[in-house]
Amino acid sequence: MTPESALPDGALFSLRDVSVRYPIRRGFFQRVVGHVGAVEQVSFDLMRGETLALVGESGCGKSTLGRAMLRLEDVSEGTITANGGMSRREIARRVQVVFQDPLGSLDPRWRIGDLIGEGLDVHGIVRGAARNDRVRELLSQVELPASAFYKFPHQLSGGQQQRVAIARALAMRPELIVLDEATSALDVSVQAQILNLLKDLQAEYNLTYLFISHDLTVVGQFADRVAVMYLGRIMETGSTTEVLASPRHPYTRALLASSLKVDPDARIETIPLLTGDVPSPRNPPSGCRFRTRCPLAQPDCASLDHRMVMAGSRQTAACRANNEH
Amino acid sequence: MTPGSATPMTPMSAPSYGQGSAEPTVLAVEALAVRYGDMEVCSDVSLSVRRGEALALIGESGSGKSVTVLAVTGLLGRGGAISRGSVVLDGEEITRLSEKERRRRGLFGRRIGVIFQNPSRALDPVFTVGQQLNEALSLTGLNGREALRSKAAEWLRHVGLPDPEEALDRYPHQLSGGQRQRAMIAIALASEPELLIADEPTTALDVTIQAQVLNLIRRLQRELNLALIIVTHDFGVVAAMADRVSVMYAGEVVETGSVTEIIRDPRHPYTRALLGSLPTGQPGARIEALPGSVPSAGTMPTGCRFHPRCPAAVAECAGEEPRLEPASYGRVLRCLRAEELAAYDA
Ligand SMILES: Nc1ncnc2c1ncn2[C@@H]1O[C@H](COP(=O)(O)OP(=O)(O)OP(=O)(O)O)[C@@H](O)[C@H]1O
Ligand SMILES: Nc1ncnc2c1ncn2[C@@H]1O[C@H](COP(=O)(O)OP(=O)(O)OP(=O)(O)O)[C@@H](O)[C@H]1O
Ligand code: SF4
Ligand code: SF4
Ligand SMILES: [Mg+2]
Ligand SMILES: [Mg+2]
Repeated sequence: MTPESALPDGALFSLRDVSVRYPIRRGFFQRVVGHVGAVEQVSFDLMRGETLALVGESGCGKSTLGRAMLRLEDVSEGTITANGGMSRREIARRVQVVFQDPLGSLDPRWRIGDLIGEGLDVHGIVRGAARNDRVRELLSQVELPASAFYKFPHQLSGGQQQRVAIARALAMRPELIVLDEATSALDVSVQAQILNLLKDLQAEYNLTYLFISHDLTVVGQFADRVAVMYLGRIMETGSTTEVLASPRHPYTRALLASSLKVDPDARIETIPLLTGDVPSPRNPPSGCRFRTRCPLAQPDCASLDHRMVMAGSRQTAACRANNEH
Repeated sequence: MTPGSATPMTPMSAPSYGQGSAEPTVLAVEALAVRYGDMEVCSDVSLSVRRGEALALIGESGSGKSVTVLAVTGLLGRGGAISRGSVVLDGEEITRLSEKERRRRGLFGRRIGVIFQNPSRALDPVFTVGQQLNEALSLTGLNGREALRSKAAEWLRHVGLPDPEEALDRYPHQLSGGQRQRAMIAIALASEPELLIADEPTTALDVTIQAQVLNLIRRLQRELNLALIIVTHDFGVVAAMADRVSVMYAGEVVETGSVTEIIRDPRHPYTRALLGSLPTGQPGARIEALPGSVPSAGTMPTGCRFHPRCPAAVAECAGEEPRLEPASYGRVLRCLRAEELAAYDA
């Protein structure tokens, strides 16, 4: 682990060339026959108090990267440095997560009060009456009625369950919350309620969010910076306004062009499509990983080494179409 | 029916088929109510769709969209039954047909293709994807091992499945959630039905694949002149796909209009609130959230079902039930204040 002094000013986390690989097992003895490079050579700094969005298609490695920051996944190469140290126990308190499916992450046999108080109990933070007071305070912070204390998860709506998941995370007074598709399963109306709540909590506690999402409109409104991933790699990263208003990498452009707009003139026939085979993460294309679907691909994209280049104040993966070699 | 034979491809900017369209109505649902046991989960659903037309059914979770689809297809399952109203397919009343009778008449699979919200409902776990595709393809008259196999692989390629040849021999559980959804879309389209009902067909897909799959559905719909009902809670999908839109709330249709009317000039307070709670993409801006959530069957509010959440509610909204009817300005909506609200805006 690198010394803490390696962290840039104001950074809470710093990732340098981080790769995470899952073993592929086969046969009766479950021998390891290869690896899926779920995350490859990812570097970025997460600044205290900011919201960094992670976008990209299904299976590109967003959750894996989030899990690595929660120390739930081992890093195969590279380093993750945290301001204040990276011991498992410390991280278990300081970094919390909220998943897409609230019911899946809330034990159905527990009452809401105990679900929210669990972390307080485990870490011995407060006990007895003080613990229950703290739980009630958390309920009101996430705008749930005090009567929710004695209810079970299935007695709440999806939006209320997600509020419970947020209260559970907040109980630990975390510095970073990984929001892994935390609002994707919710109705637009409920999503709006939860996003507003998250914004208020961030302002009040100077929280840092890693916001994993595939909705670029939500990202544009909610995040300060965005990192675009494709097949394990970051393809473009910079301020949300800059990246979404003037995407530079062909993959970011394709992603934006494919996003549907709430505009009756934006009919499906007018949306440009990607063609070409969707590559398997077990066997990624050589060179630029986007080349099997990139509309601008040239033969020598197959031999391009992945590296990030600066373009204004953003970074993009080197790309032949942008004359980067 | 073969692709391309029905009508010439309509130009991209074709106007939507309005009520005045000469195309025949394929499906008409009138004042439909559905019960599960003693719970009435849908109370008053009316909608219709013509040949070549795409109707979107939108509303929050629990508003009764899937139940409506299941009622139309006769797949409500245990304890579920249509308690009022009618379902008419091609002029033929099918409201109370048994499942056996539906099969005999080739309703399900051949005439009505369905992409279910829950893929495990539609894919049979004991048959490979290829076998299930073959069954759908044989409904169109295609036969011969080689012909079936290559056509089946082509369908999987159309829906963006990686390694289509290999996927033919896989069982549903060997595919990811998103891949299962795509396989199901391929199967529903392969039988070339006259009415295609797609219940949240792309929620598990990424934007790039979503665009590809929706484009495919739209192209086939045009080529085969299909009637399409697309169920969604995504207004982006509505804008991209629909000619007309019916908005549902708490088991009732509350507003119906053309896609432009609904998105640019929504009239019902619920439609307005839904559109108002969409993120705008404006950095840092707060979203105008619609408070509360959809009531469920046991706890339905009196009067207008939307009144506890409605920003325009007045005292009488809690007492009187509004009916779905045309307002003076032509829009069909369910609101006691339909005339006043419209006048206020003008
Ligand atoms: N436990 C695991 N064992 C093996 N492979 C895995 C495991 N978890 C994830 N993967 C693979 O790693 C890659 C990245 O998965 P990850 O869940 O991080 O993607 P994601 O970007 O979060 O996708 P989604 O948007 O679908 O949630 C995928 O190819 C996935 O199949
Ligand atoms: N099999 C069933 N038995 C009893 N109630 C049911 C059943 N299926 C659905 N319901 C109820 O009917 C109502 C409408 O449900 P439905 O699934 O149609 O909603 P939906 O609009 O499709 O929502 P979503 O957007 O979440 O798919 C809900 O209150 C639901 O709980
Ligand atoms: S390097 Fe080539 S394949 Fe990759 S994004 Fe650029 S042009 Fe496309
Ligand atoms: S009837 Fe009343 S409560 Fe219902 S939508 Fe109209 S104004 Fe709102
Ligand atoms: Mg994920
Ligand atoms: Mg549904």
